[in-house]
Amino acid sequence: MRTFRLQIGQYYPGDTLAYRIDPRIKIILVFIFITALFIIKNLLGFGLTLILLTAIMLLTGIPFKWAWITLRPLRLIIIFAFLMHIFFTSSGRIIFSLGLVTIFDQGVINGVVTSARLILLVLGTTLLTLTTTPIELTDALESLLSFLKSVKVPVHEIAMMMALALRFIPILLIESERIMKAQASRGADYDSGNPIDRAKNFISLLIPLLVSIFRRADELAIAMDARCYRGGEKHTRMQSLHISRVDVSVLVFLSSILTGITILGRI
Amino acid sequence: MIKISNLSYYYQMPHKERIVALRDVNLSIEKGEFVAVLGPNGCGKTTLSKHLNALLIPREGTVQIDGLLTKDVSNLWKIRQKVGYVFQNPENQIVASLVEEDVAFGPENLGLDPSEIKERIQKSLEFVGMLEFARWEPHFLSAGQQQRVAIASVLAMEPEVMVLDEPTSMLDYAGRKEVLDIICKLNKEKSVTVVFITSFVEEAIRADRAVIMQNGKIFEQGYPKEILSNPTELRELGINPLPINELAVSLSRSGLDISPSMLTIQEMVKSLCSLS
Amino acid sequence: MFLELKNVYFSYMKGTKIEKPVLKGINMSVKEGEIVGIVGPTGSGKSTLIQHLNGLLQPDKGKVYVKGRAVGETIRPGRIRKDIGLVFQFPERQFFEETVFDEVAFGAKNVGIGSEELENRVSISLSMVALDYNRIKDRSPFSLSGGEMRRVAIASVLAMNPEVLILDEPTSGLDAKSREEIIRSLKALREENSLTVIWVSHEMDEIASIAERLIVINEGEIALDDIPEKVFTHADDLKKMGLGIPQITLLMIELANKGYKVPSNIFNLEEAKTVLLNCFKS
Repeated sequence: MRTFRLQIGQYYPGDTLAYRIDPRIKIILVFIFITALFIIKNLLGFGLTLILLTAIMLLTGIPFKWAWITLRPLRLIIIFAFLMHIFFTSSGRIIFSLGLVTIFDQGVINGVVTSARLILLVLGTTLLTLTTTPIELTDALESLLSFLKSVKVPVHEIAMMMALALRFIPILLIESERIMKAQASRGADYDSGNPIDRAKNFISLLIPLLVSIFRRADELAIAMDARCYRGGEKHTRMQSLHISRVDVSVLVFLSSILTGITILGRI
Repeated sequence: MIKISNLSYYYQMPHKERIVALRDVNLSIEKGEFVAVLGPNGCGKTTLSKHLNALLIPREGTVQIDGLLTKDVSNLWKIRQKVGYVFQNPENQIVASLVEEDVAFGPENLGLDPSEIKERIQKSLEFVGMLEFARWEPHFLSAGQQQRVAIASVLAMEPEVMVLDEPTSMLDYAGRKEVLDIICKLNKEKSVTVVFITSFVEEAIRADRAVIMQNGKIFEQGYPKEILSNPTELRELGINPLPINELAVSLSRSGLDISPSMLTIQEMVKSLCSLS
Repeated sequence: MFLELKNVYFSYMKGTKIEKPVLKGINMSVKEGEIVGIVGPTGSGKSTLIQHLNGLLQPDKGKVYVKGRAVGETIRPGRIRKDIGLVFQFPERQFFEETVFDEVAFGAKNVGIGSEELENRVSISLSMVALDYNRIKDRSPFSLSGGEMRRVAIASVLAMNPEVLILDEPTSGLDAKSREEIIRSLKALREENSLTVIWVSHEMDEIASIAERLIVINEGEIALDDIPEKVFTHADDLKKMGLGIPQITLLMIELANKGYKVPSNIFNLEEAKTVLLNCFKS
């Protein structure tokens, strides 16, 4: 059953500038972006960031609906964070009071700030994953972290593990849904029942999933062996990473804009 | 090309228990041959196939690939480049999140130039008819398509031998046909030696030679037409005979002057037509 | 009518721009005690269809009726799952208990069978699939052979004592011997318990010999719904859909094309033998 769900880390094939930029540059930019997000604290800053992201999105050529699809599953978290701030902040002026419920203006402000940060964070990182293939991402990370090899950190292996995890996350999501349906077909009820029954039903989902993961890992390892994988560095790559002038220009350009927005976002 | 001499193998289980999988097996496979290996579950066919690319090393006896002994550790990577292996489950042998990246995996491990790698990806995907899916994520493909990608990924290493362990057992009719056609094409057009493990007689009849295994030994080997056309014997061996074959036997016993060992519809039609 | 689907439509990701329609106006019904085969190529909507039969999925449009009651209106979807047992493809992947007994008992416990009745129920379920209760009950489900695991999985659904058994590719991935065992068990099961059975497959040879009626689904619509003999008169259409046709039928078609007076929709060995002997024995 192939359902065209958009998962976390979904890649959207394309060939515009955003796709051709060295993935290491993109990761560095995202890093700068996230740092900026946590420094910005006024609506002007967030607004400008949103405009920037929208502009970049337009340049990638990816339909805007993908951004919405990525945000949709997270809307509960965003609403939850927002409400936490509203109901549990008790500084500033009171703007609403009814019975036990007291809402302070600072709570609303904090709620908006947190929600904005979350939304922009997701949008920004989604831009990265939409335009960068999983292998590009893990190759880039491996390259950026390669300095750790001098202190015996197995950078390549970690990168390989991440690549494999990205490969199997969609499969495991589909499989857990299947297992749930299979157990439900044997009468398992995931919605009601006392805590003991619920725990039992959870186990009926967890164990088959774990068995499946181990079985897949086993088969995969043998398949990799059969294709001459020896661990350690890959001898060569299909796509080698190299920084060009365009990459550097983009890095400088966007970092400057982000710096500017950050400054404006602190006044 | 492949020489198996007095091969014995057992799986070591906990508590000193051993499960014997192969007993003194002798088999030679020539370059360019298409050999089908059949038998019920537990007959040792998978264990045998895993010796061909040194995934398993003989406990007794030897396995030689193009003169290279699998026991010799220094031959390991050479052997694995010469002998490609396609597994039963399409999903669990695809390593990367994009089709073309998976096909690149093998060549990358061989240390080839990026330009050579790209060329091989192009050729392999074209050969299996999956070029348009190069930038797709594998889990959006059907099982048959995934299996074709797996074949392309192995092909990209340009092996001389292809071992396929029941590659069609998880596929539907259309998927099975796709895979089988590619394998035959591989054998005929590229002279790749093919060792094909299956439990379906209709797949084995396209081979040059069929080998039937039972209880860790080779029970019989020969032309598919000859050794896969005795329904009673096949059933005893745990293999389902072809309906046409059973029909031919039944008709022949009832007095019709046709050969009981027919395996294809064309043969049957011809024989029946020649009666009248 | 025991089970009925009236004008059922279903799409995945409904409401989003990547909506994918899978079922497009399905009308089908199953009588009590019938054994129906559902065939269709990959992507035809088979799996989605059967998940509507046991309430795992609800239609976007149209209705599902179980014994005359509309699912989702007169009867809760969760409720029908106990009367309509669905065995998924590769059901051994749902194992999680330590012993075969517990694994089979899971289904029974979920329908409220108390501990006194449990042993009896498990024992009966295992014997329904021709497994020796005493030999197998304490073994780990993961230690069994492929065919045995498959049968334990079927037993675990039978333990709910359903009135309908739906099997999604029950012989998939098994070798010849295990396939035969499964088919034999299911045939015997149906005779002894007059269970209504729905068998989903793409193995034409296999299903033609078992089903009283074949429903062919293609691209979300029912293409054919009739007894096997009638379905096989549409051999060309079946081929175009990517479905295999029983070898014997293909033979008959070839002979008919060559001008011989043989019915081209036979798939049974004995019938073929009779027909051919009549035709060719001088």
